[in-house]
Amino acid sequence: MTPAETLHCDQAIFTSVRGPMGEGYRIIAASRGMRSDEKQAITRLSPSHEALCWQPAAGPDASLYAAAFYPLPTGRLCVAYSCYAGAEHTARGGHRVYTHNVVFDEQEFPRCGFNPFHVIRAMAVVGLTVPKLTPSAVLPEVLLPIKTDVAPRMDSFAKALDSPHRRYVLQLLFDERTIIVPVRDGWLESTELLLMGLPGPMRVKVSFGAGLRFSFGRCHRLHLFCDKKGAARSRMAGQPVEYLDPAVTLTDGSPTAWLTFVDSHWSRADCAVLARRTSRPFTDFSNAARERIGKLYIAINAVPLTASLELLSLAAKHIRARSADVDDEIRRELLAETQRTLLERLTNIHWCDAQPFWSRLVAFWRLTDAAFAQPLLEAGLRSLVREDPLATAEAAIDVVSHTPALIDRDRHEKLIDEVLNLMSADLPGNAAPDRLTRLCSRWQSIRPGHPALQKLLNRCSVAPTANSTSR
Amino acid sequence: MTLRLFTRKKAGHQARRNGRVPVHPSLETQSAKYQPAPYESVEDDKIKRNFQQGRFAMILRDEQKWGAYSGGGEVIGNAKRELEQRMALVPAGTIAIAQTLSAAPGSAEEEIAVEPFLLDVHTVTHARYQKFVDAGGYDALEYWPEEIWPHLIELKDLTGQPGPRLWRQARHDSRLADHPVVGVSWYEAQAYALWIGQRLPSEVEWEMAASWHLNNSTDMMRRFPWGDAMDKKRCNIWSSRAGGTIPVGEYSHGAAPNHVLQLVGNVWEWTDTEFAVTDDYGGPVVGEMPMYVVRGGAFDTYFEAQATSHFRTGQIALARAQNTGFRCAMDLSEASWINGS
Amino acid sequence: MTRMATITLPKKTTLPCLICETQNQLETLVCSTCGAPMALIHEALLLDRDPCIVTVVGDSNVGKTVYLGMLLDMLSKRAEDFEAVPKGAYSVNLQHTVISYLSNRQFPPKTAMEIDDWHWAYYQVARRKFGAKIYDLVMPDMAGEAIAAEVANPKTFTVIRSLLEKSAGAILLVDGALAAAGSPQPDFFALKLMTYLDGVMASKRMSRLDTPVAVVLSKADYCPACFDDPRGFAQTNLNRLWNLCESRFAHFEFFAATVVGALGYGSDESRNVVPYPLHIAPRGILEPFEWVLSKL
Repeated sequence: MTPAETLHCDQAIFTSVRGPMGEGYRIIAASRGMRSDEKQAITRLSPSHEALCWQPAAGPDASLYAAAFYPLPTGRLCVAYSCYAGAEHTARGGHRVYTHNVVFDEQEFPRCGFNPFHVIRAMAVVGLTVPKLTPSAVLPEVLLPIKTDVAPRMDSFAKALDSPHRRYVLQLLFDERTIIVPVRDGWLESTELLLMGLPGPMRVKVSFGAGLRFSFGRCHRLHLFCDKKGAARSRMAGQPVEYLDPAVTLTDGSPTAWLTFVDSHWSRADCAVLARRTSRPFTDFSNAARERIGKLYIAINAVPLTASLELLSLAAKHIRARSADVDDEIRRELLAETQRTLLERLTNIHWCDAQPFWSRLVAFWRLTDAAFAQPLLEAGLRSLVREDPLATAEAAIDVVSHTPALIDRDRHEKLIDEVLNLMSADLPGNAAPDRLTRLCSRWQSIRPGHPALQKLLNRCSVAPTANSTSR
Repeated sequence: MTLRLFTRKKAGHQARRNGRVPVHPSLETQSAKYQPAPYESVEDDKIKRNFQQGRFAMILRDEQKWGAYSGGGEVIGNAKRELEQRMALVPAGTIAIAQTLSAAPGSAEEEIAVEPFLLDVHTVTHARYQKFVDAGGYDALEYWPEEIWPHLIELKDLTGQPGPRLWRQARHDSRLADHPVVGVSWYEAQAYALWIGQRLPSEVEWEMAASWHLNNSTDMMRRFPWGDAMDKKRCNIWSSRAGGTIPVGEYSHGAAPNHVLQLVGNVWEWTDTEFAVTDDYGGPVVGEMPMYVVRGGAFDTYFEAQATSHFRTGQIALARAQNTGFRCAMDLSEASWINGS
Repeated sequence: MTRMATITLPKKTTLPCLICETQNQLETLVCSTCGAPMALIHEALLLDRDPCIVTVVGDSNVGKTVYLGMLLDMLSKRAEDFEAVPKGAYSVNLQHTVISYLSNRQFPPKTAMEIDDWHWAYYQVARRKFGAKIYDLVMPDMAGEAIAAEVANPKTFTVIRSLLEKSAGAILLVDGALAAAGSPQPDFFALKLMTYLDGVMASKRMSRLDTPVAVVLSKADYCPACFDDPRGFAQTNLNRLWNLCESRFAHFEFFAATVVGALGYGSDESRNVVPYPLHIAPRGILEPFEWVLSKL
């Protein structure tokens, strides 16, 4: 488990209590670092009476009721957690809404994995999600232990939105539209998963409200909540807000590479990997960049299903590419995945499967990247020598007789030794003498005096007793 | 002599002028327009003074003593006639009192039997109450419970004199002489009732008089003294648009079967029952101070459903509201001369 | 001369919001900036007179919703010879809510701070006599906390500023019960609000503000002395406000009002005190409104 990052935050509590200075919804406590325009924004954007979408429930997750994330006028970011805190104190019916806000610098956002929900989880760890209705007016600054390796849950996301709708929402966010997504429940998870579909640095621009009734005064980019009786929908006419109706069938156009890659992860509920992949510190997340990166990720995901020859082509294509941003990291991931897959395949391969592929592999090792191909060759030779030592030895001679200039010499020597040892150990007694003799001759020119070779030579001397030609 | 029941005779009180109920003078009342009621000369003779003050029940309570008095017999006879004129018999019945605030159908009720009793036909007027004030009622501690003695000093009118809150110089506005006295707390109502030898009706007695749920009836209760439908022409509530109290003799066609007037509308009426009710979850609903039940609605009652025979509400005992008055009751046993009592 | 009953609207694709003047699409129901119903401007365009905005302002829990709902209902019932016609069904929502709750012996729910949750009432009001002036009144029911936030920090809720700037008159509710009990909060809040009004509405620095402001002592059933002499009560218990009014406002008056005849108290599961309006006896509701109208 990765160690926690520490996030230094200011905080403010917004709720309705009766106090000596007044009553009603307002900021009742704040740390000294909170600026007046930040407090103003929080006052305007925080939920008030009956603004949450569901009733308190028992259980450990009951504390996670609603969340919001938005930039403040000062450029800092605010993550807000809201819950019910008992009956409204004037007892006019309804529940009191309690919101705890933490505020931090935008530069700290990458350390949170570009995920406001990591901040919310950290708030829960330090107890900020428990309502405090009588705090002191001045709160201390808070250090939040951020863990970025927690994967978002997928429980209700698939039920809430199908694939075309998910992609549609994501595309709208890329188009910088404001969107309302009505869902019955699971809005926190769904919001987090939608956010994970965006490049990490882009998320700072996507404010959201999850579990909060929609209000024009609190118009974030993304809203997920239960729109009972379509109350919000009825007000959408003429508004620059997209209201998604999950019941309406969407015609799926040709989705972009990025959308395809993201949706594949959503469909497989492979959210930990998705979060890791999209939360990289991209500096370019334009359409073109996303297309490029999306294709890389699609290729990575497709590696297990790609033929070995194609994998080699893929590796050849990317192995020498160099680019800015995080593309290199992704390429390395692609190559690692390709190498791993090929290694797996070569570990138990048979000559009939390897034959079409072997010469290309050797050529790759010799001409493209010996470091990439070396383990593959070794694995292949080890696997094949058990099946047919003579053929493997001949193949090995092909490998070692054309040594690329830049290979690891030690490794090269080890390969020769390994092949010779395996070959001499596994060579059956009835090996064809002519072939063996030719093999030994060829080995002689490469590795004269090798103990294993000497053994082979002895066998060559003995074996062809019936019809050998004395040297 | 038998009191007439089920009589809907017009009492001959102040008739409507031009077909409209007079607008409450207090709507235009300012101190300069206030017309203080003149002082009345007071009889020297004790029994005649009691009669002049309207303390008929007190006279009859000591009938034997006053009977031996010179001229006492005549006064006693007149007192009886006055009581017969001013009070009406309310027969026995059973009343179901809602126990919850919402009084929703099916909510808890308590059934209480009501014995027959006598009830004032009219609410106590300013003129009648003036006699209590003039007789020094606010200084006679025997009519006030001990817990109220420290607060007697607060029971002043607008000029700081003992009297209902809206009076001035301990005089009522003579234009309102025949209007129900208002601005009196429960304690003041109680004190007056004691002073004249009567009492406040209990809540169930009041409701019996208004709903007429007789024991021998077919379990029919009237929502209003005149019947079951609200009729703004039969009572003085907000929608009647009088804007204030009207003379106690008005709206005779809104009377109960025994001719008791204005049980609904004009002023809320104090009863001697403490206000005790629960919310729908069984928790008590209380006031900031002890409360007593008021019934009947008033000229400013906005919701017609709150001006019915059954609507229960309360008021803080010390409240001296401009819309709350009272009427007095008497046990039938104290009117033994009445046939059948 | 008979005016034509129909007016041809100019061909436009957008309309300005009546309150904040943001341009909205024709089919928009609610202004995207301030949440005011676009029906307001639609109705206003059909008339040949500008609507008046009369704002009811006050601190949280002072009784604005109950006061305004009761006022509108009384006008609808033609109290004091007024005739009030709602423009649009949305205008009836507030009085419907208030009356429904009060008749069930409950107070209406708290007004949320979210602007699009506020009730807006657009009424055509006139005295029922020949030739009486007709007033087209827009009266929003705002959350007290939003007003307090805007007063404390201007431009927090710009719609409030826009409303007050455009208001022809204001009814300021002050908690008479709290003031009678000796709390300074009502005085301070009213002082801040009136100072804010002065800043928003005053066209000239040194002249007095001529927008009429009716200061209403709400919950006056708690202290009937408010009715006897509202001015005297204010001078004694709201002295800061009184002094400011005298120095900065040309038209102001004090009134007392109550809707509730008596209050009972229970408690809820959180041990909050629950107030129950035991019976309704409105008093002093119309007078402030009448006075403001007379000054328009």
